[in-house]
Amino acid sequence: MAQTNPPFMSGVPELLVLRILSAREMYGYELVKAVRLVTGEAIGLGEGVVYPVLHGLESSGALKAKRKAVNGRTRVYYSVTAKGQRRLEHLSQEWRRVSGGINSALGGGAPENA
Amino acid sequence: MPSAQQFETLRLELLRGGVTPVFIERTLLELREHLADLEAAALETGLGPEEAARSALERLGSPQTIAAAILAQPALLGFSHRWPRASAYLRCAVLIAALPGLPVVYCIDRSAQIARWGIATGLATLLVASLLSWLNWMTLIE
Repeated sequence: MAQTNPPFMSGVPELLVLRILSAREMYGYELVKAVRLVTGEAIGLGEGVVYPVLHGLESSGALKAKRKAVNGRTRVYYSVTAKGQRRLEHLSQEWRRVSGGINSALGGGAPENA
Repeated sequence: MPSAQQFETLRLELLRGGVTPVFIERTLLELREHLADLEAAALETGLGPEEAARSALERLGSPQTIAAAILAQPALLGFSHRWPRASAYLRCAVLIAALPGLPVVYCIDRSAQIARWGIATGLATLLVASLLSWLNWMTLIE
């Protein structure tokens, strides 16, 4: 079973979903596979849990969904809106800032006492 | 069928949690499609049908986990669960506003019964009046 990373996952699914969907529209199953692929399986989203993330982003206007019938199956495809692009840029900046800080802390040793 | 039971459990958890029915139906549709994809992928790896179905359900996650993730998104909840106080005030206001109109609504709603009752009462009154008139006439003749 895929490993999930609950303590570090705050905001990460949203960032990953927006990043991957900014390249092209996808449906849920495709998206989960893409997350695994682009993260080298380091981050495993719970497969069923991806839908609340998608629906939440859709409700906030960051994604838009459309149903398509493909080979007798109903697929709901998600794509990023202009608002979603702005949110992605903001989240990416935040993530770079935080990860830069953590990298610096890990590489720079313990801070000195004031 | 275990997947049907799991989806029913999820539906009930979401209904109890106050998720709008539209979202519930859509989530279930997407989860069913996702489960079918997972099963197909598991079958391709050489698993038997039962093993593939079990593996697919495991990967999809338990109904409780999925429900918890959905309920953590306030945007997916119905108005009354998202804004309980505003909803209570609104219900009271609507009730108070509707009180004067309730008898009218009651009558419109039961117009057929009221019409039947009116006709029956009218006929009964006519019958009793005719009977009394006839008795009165008989008394006068004697």
